Amino acid sequence: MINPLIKFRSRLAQHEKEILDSSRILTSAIRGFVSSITIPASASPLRALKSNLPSTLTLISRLSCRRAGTRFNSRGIDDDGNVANFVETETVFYHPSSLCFSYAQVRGSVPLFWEQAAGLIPGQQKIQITRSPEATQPAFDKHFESLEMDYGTIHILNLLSVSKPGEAELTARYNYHVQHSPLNQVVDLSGTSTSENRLLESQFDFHAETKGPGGYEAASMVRRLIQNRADGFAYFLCDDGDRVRDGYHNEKATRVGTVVILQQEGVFRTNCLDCLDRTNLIQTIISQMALELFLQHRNEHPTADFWVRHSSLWADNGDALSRIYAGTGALKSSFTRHGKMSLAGAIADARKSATRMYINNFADKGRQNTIDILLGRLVDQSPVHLYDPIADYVNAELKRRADEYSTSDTVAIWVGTFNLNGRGSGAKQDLSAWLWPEVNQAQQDPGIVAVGFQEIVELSPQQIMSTDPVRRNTWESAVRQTLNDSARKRSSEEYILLRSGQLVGAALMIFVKASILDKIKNVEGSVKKVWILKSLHGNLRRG
Amino acid sequence: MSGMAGNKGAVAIRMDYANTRICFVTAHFAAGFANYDERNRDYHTISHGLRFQRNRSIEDHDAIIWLGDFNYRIGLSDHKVRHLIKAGDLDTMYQNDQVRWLASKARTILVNDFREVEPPNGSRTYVPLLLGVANHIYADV
Repeated sequence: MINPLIKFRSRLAQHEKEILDSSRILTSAIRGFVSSITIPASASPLRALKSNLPSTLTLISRLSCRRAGTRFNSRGIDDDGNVANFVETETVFYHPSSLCFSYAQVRGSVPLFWEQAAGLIPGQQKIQITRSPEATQPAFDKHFESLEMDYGTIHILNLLSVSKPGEAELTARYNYHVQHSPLNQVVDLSGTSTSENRLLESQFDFHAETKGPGGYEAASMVRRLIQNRADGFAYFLCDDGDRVRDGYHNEKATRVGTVVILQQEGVFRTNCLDCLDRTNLIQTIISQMALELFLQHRNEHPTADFWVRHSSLWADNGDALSRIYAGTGALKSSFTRHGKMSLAGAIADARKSATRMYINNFADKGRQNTIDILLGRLVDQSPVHLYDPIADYVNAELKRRADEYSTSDTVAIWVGTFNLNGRGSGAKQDLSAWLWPEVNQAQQDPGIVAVGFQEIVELSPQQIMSTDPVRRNTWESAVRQTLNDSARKRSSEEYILLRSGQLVGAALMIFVKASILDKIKNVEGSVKKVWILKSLHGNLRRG
Repeated sequence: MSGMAGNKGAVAIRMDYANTRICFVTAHFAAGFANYDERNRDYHTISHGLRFQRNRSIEDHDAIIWLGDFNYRIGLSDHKVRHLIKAGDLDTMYQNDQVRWLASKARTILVNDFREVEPPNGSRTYVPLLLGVANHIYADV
């Protein structure tokens, strides 16, 4: 319903828009967290600026609706460059002298195509990267292009573990894509080569660093890693005063509006796995670093009390964002709030972990469904149409003249299927007669190649319980190699693996030419088990 | 798990190619000459039960391509079939092909692999390639 209303409003003339707005039929809302703490004048961190009025410390977190969803159902990036759990958080400090400080940070899921099955046992929640690097780079670049337009230089702060298998894989892939990003290039400005890196990254293995005796306090080690960069980014500072500028030399005194004193030059993009617990703690530290810089510049030294208020705001922020994404408050929030871990805090964390496990496995599918219904995203939902005769006329004309601005294209798709009878030796043989038969020229060079296998592993109870993906990987390589050998022989473009899936013996792999990637979106995979009955005396019937 | 085993099923991948929604489904249906009903049920289970995100089903696509080992048989004796192959009589074989049921159900492109029926000269596998319901094109690959 919202989309048609917003489109309708955008077509109105200015005064019509104002009438519509004043009717208050449309209310803008944000999903996230907003909270303000009042700091009495006696406790003001800016002691040099005398005032009897209190100042306020505010936190505003806005969650992106572009890839909204619950923890296990929405992860990673989509083809438009939007990531799951993308939040912009702004720390605002307002002093009654009209001085206003603001600092922005962002967090977001690791910008790769990845998934994680919910699973009841923590170890079983396997992380899966579902797309090849070449097929991922375009979406990755889109994501950072849009961030760079909004915020300038981006500094990635990756808190993932380098030792845990799934997280290490994500980190390695993340690094690969940063290296290949156009924003990460050395820019040659008029002869002199200047490194104008607009995309940088740092790794801070949160779990490893906080494992020692210091516990979470060791997290402040991250300061050393990013201090220089943080100083370079600075912060936003403006003077909001409706003051009157003194007239010099008999000039008339003029009223001055908002004066921008300093601007924030870049942004930290922090991530862990969920971008909830570890991320929130680190973002608290970064926010503190920015405020410290601001106060340092003014030669002020705030009391411990000020930082307690700051931490409390951030802990509330973490809880709120966590409730939206994972269904419970944030882990480590006791530490964020009080600066130290206690037994009560540890027990609270354990309780939240258990609650999350329940919610993510049993309640989230319903929640995700509800989110999709409210956003009008379910496939069987019909859109709401508003009566808008002018728009209808324009649309009808557009349709009539569609040939003038739209083109149609054909894509050749090669499809093949083979039952391998559980054998793997075929992968070493020459597959070109199958994958690239000598058919007429017009059927050569397909844009999409879809290959299906049955009995890619033998259909044994062991494989049903836990399928070994090695066989599938072997066949993926063999097919890809054959396709690309043939492509090279004919000097045509090579293929990359878009996505593959497997259910015990059945496997499906889709290869595409990189040049058509920009036309492909919303790639998804799914499986469906079929239960068969065993005969009373028998073995499993084999296909 | 007594009495039931889940070693068969379907894997599907879908995408939007410009304005066209394409879906590929690979499946392995129940085996056995007489299990015709079970194969049909497998098809129903998969085409109605398999879901992508936001409840999208296989039917919600513009181009659907099923590929796999559907295990349908030609409803004639082994001896008769070999005779028909030698005679090059694909039509009669197709008339007795259980897969016609599948072709009538799915308004889709069907790519099928028969492992059991091997030509007597042992050269290549017989692969009938069906397009839609109207045209039937056979390719001896």
